[in-house]
Amino acid sequence: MALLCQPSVDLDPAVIAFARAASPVPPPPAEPTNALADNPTAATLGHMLFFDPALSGRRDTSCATCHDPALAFTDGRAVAEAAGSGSFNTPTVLGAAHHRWLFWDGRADSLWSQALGPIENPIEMDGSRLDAVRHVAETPPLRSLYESIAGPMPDISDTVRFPSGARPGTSSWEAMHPADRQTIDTAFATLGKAIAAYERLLQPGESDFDRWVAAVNAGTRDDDILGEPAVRGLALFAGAAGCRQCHFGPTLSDLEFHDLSLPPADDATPHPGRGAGYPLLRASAFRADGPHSDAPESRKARRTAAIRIGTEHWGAFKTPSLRNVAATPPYMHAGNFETLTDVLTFYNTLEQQVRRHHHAEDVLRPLDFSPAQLADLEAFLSALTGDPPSTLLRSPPPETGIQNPETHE
Amino acid sequence: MIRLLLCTTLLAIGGCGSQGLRTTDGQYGITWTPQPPQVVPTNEYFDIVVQVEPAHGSLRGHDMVFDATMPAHRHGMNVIVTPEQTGPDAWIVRDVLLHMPGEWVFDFDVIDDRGVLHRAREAVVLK
Ligand code: HEC
Ligand code: HEC
Repeated sequence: MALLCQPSVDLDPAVIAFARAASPVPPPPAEPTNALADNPTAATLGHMLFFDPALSGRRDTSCATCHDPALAFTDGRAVAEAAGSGSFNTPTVLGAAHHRWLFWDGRADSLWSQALGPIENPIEMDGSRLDAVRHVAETPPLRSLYESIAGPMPDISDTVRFPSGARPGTSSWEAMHPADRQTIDTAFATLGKAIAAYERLLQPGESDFDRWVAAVNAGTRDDDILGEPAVRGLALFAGAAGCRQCHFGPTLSDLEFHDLSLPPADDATPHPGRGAGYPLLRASAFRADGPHSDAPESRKARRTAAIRIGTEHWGAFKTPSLRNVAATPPYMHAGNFETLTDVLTFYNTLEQQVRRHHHAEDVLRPLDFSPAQLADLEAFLSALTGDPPSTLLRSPPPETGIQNPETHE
Repeated sequence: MIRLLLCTTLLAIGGCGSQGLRTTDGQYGITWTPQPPQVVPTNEYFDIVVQVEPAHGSLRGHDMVFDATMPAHRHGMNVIVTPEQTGPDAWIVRDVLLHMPGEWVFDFDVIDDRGVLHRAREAVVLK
């Protein structure tokens, strides 16, 4: 019997150690800046808001429009499209709670502050913080959930003091009394904290890779779980291919930023990446060390203040998690590649690299792998697809009366 | 005990801190210890406790600056660290983050009372 399970691929102990450090996915890290992070009532409110198109200016786009549960919480497009056309690929929300910085350029330092961005982004939902807060105030089920986690909803019924459509950059917002703006900002931050509480439940599910590691941990390694090509792919990933320099740990990401000198995608002018994201983060009122944080003195908050930006961060983008990667094409920050095969061809030759400046970090080397080795790497990446979250978490809550994007055509 | 054994093995690659380090001019000894978890972690925030020992006749250490870089990759840390003095010859460097595996170079610069810089350098290989 034992003979049948005999591993057929020889694995270096360092590869096994790499795999064990990458599985299982632990619960999301503690989030002191969001006092509601693990509050179930907040998660229910956040769940409703995530699927609610009324948060958008034209009341036709919700978070789930672009982060579609049926597409592993992405949109399948090269770059996002809603109120306008964007220049960034839509990342998955599965496992986003594990990221240290949010967005490709890291311009948010918490899941709750991230959630506030798309609501007002003119090319995403094109709504306003004032209308978002008013929508919650005027929708009884949302309002009662809000009040049970955050206390009485402020009275914003006076439309002269609280003009519809007000968001920073509009004259109506600038004309508001600072104390009224503060009132709206505080309530708006609470909405972000509720959405984040829901997103923290969207953990990457167990994958064949995790099942294989569990068997290894139990002393019963069984390569049939992964298939031999994926086992060989794992050995390359953690070994000769050097992928593990940036893709490691439970998310298969170092959660930091690198410049791969990718070729510019169609219709996309080169973006400064982290070089542009950092000033936006510093300017945000919703920073971890800002006035709306629940722990502005915490270590987590101090880390935002201690970010170092060097010339090598110009054109650097966040290392994406590779969990569920086979389910989330196209790839890279601008949707530069349609398939995993294309991504691996890029890493194999680096012929498409475009060096835009000479301060770039210097890590990648052409792999010069055979087609069979590239196929093994791809088999490993495909083994990172996890079971989806529960149907309940993937569907709009019944109270909202919103149809599941999965079920209507 | 186990930790001690682990650290003795790892001392070879510097992952547990070191005791015999000196500035290149021999004027200051540097003892540094990561904490927690006592072994330098990859891509996790940690602190470094630094003790400076002036050799006989040297000026007392006046200030200490810490930096870490990956020369082969042409980059440094993604964080700014400011050592905090905790005693006459003691510092703590909080929230150090070494975000990639591979060879990092640590520089401990002691700046004496006259403003002269004395550098101690050590390579630390992270798995
Ligand atoms: C128009 C499509 C669209 C809508 C609507 C949208 N997003 Fe996104 N989302 C994106 C794109 C594109 C990015 C990457 C943008 C960037 O990095 O600048 C992104 C990034 C994110 C991220 C960061 C993931 C990471 O790894 O950094 C999270 C989390 C997220 N969105 C959640 C939400 C939430 C919550 C909402 C609703 C409040 C929302 N999104 C609405 C397209 C959309
Ligand atoms: C220097 C760090 C680094 C190394 C080494 C590295 N990657 Fe990446 N990887 C990144 C970054 C950063 C991105 C996103 C780049 C962007 O969009 O600008 C990325 C993106 C990807 C993506 C696309 C994911 C998505 O959702 O868009 C895949 C797949 C991937 N890498 C696989 C690999 C494989 C396989 C290897 C080894 C052959 C590897 N990476 C080596 C940093 C690295």
